[in-house]
Amino acid sequence: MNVIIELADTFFLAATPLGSPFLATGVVLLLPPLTRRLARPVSRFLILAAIAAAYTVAFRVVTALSPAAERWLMRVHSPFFGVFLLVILPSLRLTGRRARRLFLAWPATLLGLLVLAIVANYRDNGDTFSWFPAPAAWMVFGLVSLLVLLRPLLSLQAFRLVVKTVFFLVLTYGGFALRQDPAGFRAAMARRDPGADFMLLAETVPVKGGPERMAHLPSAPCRFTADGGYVQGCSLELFQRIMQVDYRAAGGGEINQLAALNLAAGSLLMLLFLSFLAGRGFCGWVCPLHSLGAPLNWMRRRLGLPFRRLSRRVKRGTLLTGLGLASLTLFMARLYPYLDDGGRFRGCRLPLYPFCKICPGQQICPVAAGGPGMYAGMPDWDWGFGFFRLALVGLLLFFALSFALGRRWWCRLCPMGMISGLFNRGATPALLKDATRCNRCGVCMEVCPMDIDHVRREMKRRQVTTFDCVLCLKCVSRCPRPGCLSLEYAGQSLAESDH
Amino acid sequence: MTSERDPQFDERYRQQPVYSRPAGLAARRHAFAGRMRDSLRAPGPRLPVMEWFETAMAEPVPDGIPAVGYYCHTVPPEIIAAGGARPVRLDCGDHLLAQQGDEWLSGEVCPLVKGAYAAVHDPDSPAARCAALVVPAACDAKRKLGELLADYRPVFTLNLPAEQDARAYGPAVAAELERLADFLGSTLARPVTRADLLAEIRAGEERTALLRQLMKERADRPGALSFRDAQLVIQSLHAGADPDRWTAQARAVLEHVRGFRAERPRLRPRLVMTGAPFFWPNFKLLNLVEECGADIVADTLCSGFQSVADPVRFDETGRSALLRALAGRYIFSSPCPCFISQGTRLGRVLELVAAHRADGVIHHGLRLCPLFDMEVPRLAAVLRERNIPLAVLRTDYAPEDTEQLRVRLEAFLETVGE
Repeated sequence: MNVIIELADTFFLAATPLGSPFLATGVVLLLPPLTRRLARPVSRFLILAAIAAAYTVAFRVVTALSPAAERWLMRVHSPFFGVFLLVILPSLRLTGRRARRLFLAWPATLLGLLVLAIVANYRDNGDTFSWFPAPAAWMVFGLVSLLVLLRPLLSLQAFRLVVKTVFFLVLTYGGFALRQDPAGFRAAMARRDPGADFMLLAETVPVKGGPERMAHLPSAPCRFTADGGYVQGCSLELFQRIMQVDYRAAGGGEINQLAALNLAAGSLLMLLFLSFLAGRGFCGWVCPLHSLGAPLNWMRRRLGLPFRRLSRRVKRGTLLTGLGLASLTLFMARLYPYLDDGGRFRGCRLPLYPFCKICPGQQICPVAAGGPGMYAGMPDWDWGFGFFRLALVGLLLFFALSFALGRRWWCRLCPMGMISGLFNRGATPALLKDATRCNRCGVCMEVCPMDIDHVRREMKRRQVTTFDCVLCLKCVSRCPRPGCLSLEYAGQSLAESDH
Repeated sequence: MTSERDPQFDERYRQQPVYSRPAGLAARRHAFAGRMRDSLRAPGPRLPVMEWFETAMAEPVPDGIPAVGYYCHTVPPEIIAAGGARPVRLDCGDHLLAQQGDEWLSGEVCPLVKGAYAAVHDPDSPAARCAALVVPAACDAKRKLGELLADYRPVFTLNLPAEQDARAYGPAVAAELERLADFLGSTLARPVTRADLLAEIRAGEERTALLRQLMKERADRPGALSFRDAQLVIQSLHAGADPDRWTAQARAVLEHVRGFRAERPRLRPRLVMTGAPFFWPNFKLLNLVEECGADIVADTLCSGFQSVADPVRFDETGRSALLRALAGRYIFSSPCPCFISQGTRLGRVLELVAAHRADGVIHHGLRLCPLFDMEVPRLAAVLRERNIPLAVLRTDYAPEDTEQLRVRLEAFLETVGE
């Protein structure tokens, strides 16, 4: 057994360069032209394998020559990109039923290895405490493999629910799996106090740091979740950080500020790659904040209560409110280097994380993860002269109403969604429509949680992805016309209506 | 909400119903239907189960079950079924009833409406036995038909939007369907509940899936089942056949078509039928096409596959959401020419021609239906652009022009063959 695990260890070590977003994005960009030029999947595979091999060699050479370059490259590395290249992308691209079935042996092996590693670790260190004592990269590979194995067994919407649940569990309780030492965890918890007026940057770093974390996601995995573990936080939290850096001090070579800048720049780059690979799909498939609001929506649906649509004017107002609040709080974050010892700027008291202080995520996610004891508490009245308290109460109310009365009203306000939305047109996934097959029944508009009418209305262009689209694919799974709507990923059709 | 609206028909001028049973009409109708039935058997050996569909067409709904008649495919039968009644489509295809209608209506009204109005004068007709009637205001004649029928049975005239814009008119149409549900609830003394509606939509989805498979398999091997028989399968369901027994029989037809192996390759031209509907027993043109040696592989007829081609799709199960889903399925995606743009039908014709590798298209124009006539120029132009042959055949229910039509059809089929 140990031999197998050692072999697997060697494999994962050797596969490190494949965790590069550069390689993953390059492959995704190359796929459509390659598919057009080369008919045989085998020749396509060989070319891609050659590219991966070349990249691996180049990566090894560069890292051997310069430790600084290695540090920078590893900042944007994540096992997610590796699993994307080795498991997700092939599973999406395989068209033949037999090839697809054969391929499933691969994620099954990875899942088996994960189980083996956990068992072996428990057997060898039976007396030491640990939950899932497996390397983080293995965990990612195992989990994604599990999802890939489940995909053929479930309908599209059932699969989306499973993916959402898995991501919710990972982003809310995932740190639990990576925790190795309870004493260290308790100490870290004691240092973290999300309700504190004033926190050091280092105090909010998630339980599991290090190069294996997945940095910031373009939806809302709250960094204040005690066991968030595997990610740093949301994209807005990243922008907040970028605003907080004292650039003068960094220019002067102050090591703390440089480190913060390094972290932020790496995360930003990774965010760009992730947004390119999934667009606003993060909102539809990952976002834990939506998973927390969804039960309210589910209850409304079970009771058969109608949903309400927002009028055009209210929609615009919601968008502007989201943008305005995000800009305002990010501007406040920019004042961070100028705060005095009492956390005041010209007499006005400001929290350390102004955006987080008004985000309902900071109120809801920690409680969902760690129980009522983790409640951050309402902002004080003296903070920004009560602005934070009022804004938070308003937003919490809107959050609850969004799911209880409507469908995803919240996502029209969420600045993270807006940022991901900018990538929707031109990102790898694309929602396509074959207008000759459309009967204009309007089901796509009716079932769309984002209330998008464009898919129904567009009768000329093939591409129907819009800024608002969260890629939940409800329109694709509910459209009654065979082949009218489809989702294309890197030139490959993944889902088709009524198929 | 219902109480706030005016009654649809002015009660002050309501007339006493007039019933009449002209001597010999029943016998002549029986003889005419018999001739049509014979022509169904003419092509050769026929699936024995088809007899069941013929009987189901002719048999009225059993006495214990309330029936609600409706006159157009834009009426969602699910709402009627959810009200505990059997939906019965009453669009008339009977040449002799249409003739009889001349007694009350002018010769400038289409045979479908004339026949439908004449039918209700017979106290034993399916229409007169219905607990209620639903007439959509799909054209001028049908808009007025409701008020005439209202002297005989409780009638609801369903208002349709002129534009098929689901966004703009979705809520209005759903409100109209809600009003229909209220009307049925009070007429049948049983409210249309959300649960019943959901159950009926689900049951309908199953039948649609079955018919979809049947039409797909039949298009691949048209030798297995004549188009007329396929129409009979669909129309017997609309005519009020028992849904469970119908499903069992239709499944048998599907199994037959699936298992059918032609002895030699089929070289007949493949056609798509579009235009005005054919209601049993008005299968004159369908008989001719198949007698002339062509196969109809698909249609956009509201009496045919088009009326069952797509399932009702919904995401939420609230009452208003279900009604909006029905509105999308039955009204906003309808290929009826009563809506402003003919894009829906054109798109469907092109899709069917491409999907079934059809050699040509036949447009059936019903005499005195200007809506279908008005769509011909654009249809002809669009098909010409794509080099798809089109025959425009205008006729009514009368059998007198049969041979003229045959000559025109034969000429057209010769050009298609080239």
